[in-house]
Amino acid sequence: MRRLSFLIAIIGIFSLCFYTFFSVPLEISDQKQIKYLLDNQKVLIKGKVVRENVYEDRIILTLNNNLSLSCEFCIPPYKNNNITAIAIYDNFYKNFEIKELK
Amino acid sequence: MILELILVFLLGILSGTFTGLAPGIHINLIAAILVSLVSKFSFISPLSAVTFIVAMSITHTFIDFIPSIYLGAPEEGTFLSILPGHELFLEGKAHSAVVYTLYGCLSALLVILIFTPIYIYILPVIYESINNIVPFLLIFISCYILLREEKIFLSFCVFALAGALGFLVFNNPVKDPLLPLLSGLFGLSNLFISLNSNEIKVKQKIENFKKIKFSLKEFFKSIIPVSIFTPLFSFLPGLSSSHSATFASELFPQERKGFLFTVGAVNTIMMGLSFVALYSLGKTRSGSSAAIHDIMNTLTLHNLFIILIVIIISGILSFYIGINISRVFAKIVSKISYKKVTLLVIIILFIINCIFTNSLGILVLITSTALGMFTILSDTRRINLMACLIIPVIFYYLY
Repeated sequence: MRRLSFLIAIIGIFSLCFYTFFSVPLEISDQKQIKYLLDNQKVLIKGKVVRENVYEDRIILTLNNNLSLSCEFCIPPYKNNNITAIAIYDNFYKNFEIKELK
Repeated sequence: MILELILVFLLGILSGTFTGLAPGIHINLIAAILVSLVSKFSFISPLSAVTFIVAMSITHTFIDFIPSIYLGAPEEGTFLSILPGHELFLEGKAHSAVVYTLYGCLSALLVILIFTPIYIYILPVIYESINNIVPFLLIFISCYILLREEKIFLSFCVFALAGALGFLVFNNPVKDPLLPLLSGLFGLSNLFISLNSNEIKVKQKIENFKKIKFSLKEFFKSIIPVSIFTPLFSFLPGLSSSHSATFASELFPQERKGFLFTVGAVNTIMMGLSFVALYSLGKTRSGSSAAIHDIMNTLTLHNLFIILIVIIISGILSFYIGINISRVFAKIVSKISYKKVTLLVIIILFIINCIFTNSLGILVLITSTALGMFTILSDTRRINLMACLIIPVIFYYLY
């Protein structure tokens, strides 16, 4: 029983690891869809950057569909560019943290 | 207004008794429901909602030892009581075990009152400097607990796996992540092992309340370490009442009843001081204080005064409610099939998880149950499983 429980725990942890890295992002296109999102949900967002706020450690991009994206590693300018981003939803701040940007 | 407050206060005690007795139904769940109700229904005043939450939370800390000791169905704050509680259960003294925890809970009210001015006037001054060393304090406490283990390698494995599980849970879209994580690690795991063991029916003795003695010497031997560690640990993120109880009982060794007293006191102090910390620091240190923060963005001194009155009165009432419920449990526990009750509790916990979490949460539940079972079967201490909260907090502070 001890070995079996250890094995199940390991398989469960690896399954969660697998989900973290390989889960398919959920595509969202407007603000209304935010209320259905869970904290840490991986999402795919496409749109045109209409506003760009540059801060000391991050930039906030606002898209034409009113979605706001926060990015720590992005180098501006992005204004008027069409972007595709994979981001993680942060329920506390109600915004998206960019993980990959194209 | 006063009539409304009395009514919600009584409802809070009733709800706390229910959440304390029902395994798997946590006060955080009821508090979260209440927060959503307050935002929808304007006739619920914020002060009434806060009174309800405080009365429910304090009552919960008094009552939740009863299923831990009689049924072996603990939550994250009561699992330490299982071992000495079960020993006394096997001796037919489960009622006495519950009374010792209730003595602890009742004494905790005094500690809360003593530490309230310290929390208000001194804590905000020292908090900033302590806040900078939080991750290092957590690493130190974790290392201390690991190095005190007999089986260091196994304990480290449990600690690392629980930490990895916690980290993954808080970085994935798990709905109500704490529910499957904690009910698996501390609830279902223990219940499955109980289900597999031989059924023991022990007739429980209901000793007269006055005969369940706790001497003044034992009282001071328990309350002094509790007063040293619990207020310190209660504002550090990631640390639970079990850490405080472990430190208090290891640095000042105690007998079974002293330990039960300690576990009881720690749980109530942690809960009570989390409301004071919300006033003095504006930080939430429990699910209940987070719910209060959602309802009232800032607490006034007047609010805190009402909260303290609610803590004291609900505490005293819960003490007597706890004794009476324990008497009922002691009468019926030897007549019912322990295995059937365990199976019923497992089913209830599973249904609750199915209702409130998502498919990823069910995967977390299975994984955490397996990890909890591995920990028990490996004879390592279950406090190492609290790494599921400590590791994510350390990562949060360092990165």
